[in-house]
Amino acid sequence: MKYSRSYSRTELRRTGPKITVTIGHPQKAISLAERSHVDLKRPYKVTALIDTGASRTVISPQLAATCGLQKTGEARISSAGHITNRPEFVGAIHFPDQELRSFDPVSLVACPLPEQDVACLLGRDILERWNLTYDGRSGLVEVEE
Amino acid sequence: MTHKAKASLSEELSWYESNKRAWLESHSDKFVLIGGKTTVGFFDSYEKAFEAGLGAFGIGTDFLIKQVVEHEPVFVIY
Repeated sequence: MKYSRSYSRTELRRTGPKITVTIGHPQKAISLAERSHVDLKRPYKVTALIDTGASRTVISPQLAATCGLQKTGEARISSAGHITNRPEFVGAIHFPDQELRSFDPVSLVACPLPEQDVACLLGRDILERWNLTYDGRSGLVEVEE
Repeated sequence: MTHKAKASLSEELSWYESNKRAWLESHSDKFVLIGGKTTVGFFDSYEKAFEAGLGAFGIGTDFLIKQVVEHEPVFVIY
């Protein structure tokens, strides 16, 4: 078992499964920046929602700007019933204080998120590497790799 | 640091669109790496294309990584 968290049934139903992540530059970019004596913005710790309904991993545009991530493209995103082009950034996702492996590098789409306390949705591109258990009866959420 | 002001990647996206038809024949499903109107190469994964992009353009310059597909996917978020 790599990650486990217990909620009350009510809390889990209301908030969904959340996990603390750190969003930052990929290690290869950090190493190159160090060799080139270039300063990159530091990684940022935020709350992420494990979201089986999201086909891609999304971060808020504010988080992308805060971390100074590098844009690598655009993606067509359907959110709240509208299809729009949204910027894609390259970054890294780490799981501080957890045994879960990092995703580095990873493509992140920037899109406004409806919940103010959630700056990242971990979508099915992340979940395809995990075995996620959601026990709504006990409130237990587990992740195995 | 901030990345150089090619924020929209519009030149690269136009280059991709102008070459897409030919690339579908020769590099379907590969990840193409483009900077300006320069096609650096085609790669099996986003990760390999990113690494090549760092090597080609260094740190702080935006470049386009795009999978060569006929129909652009729509990703449903919420």
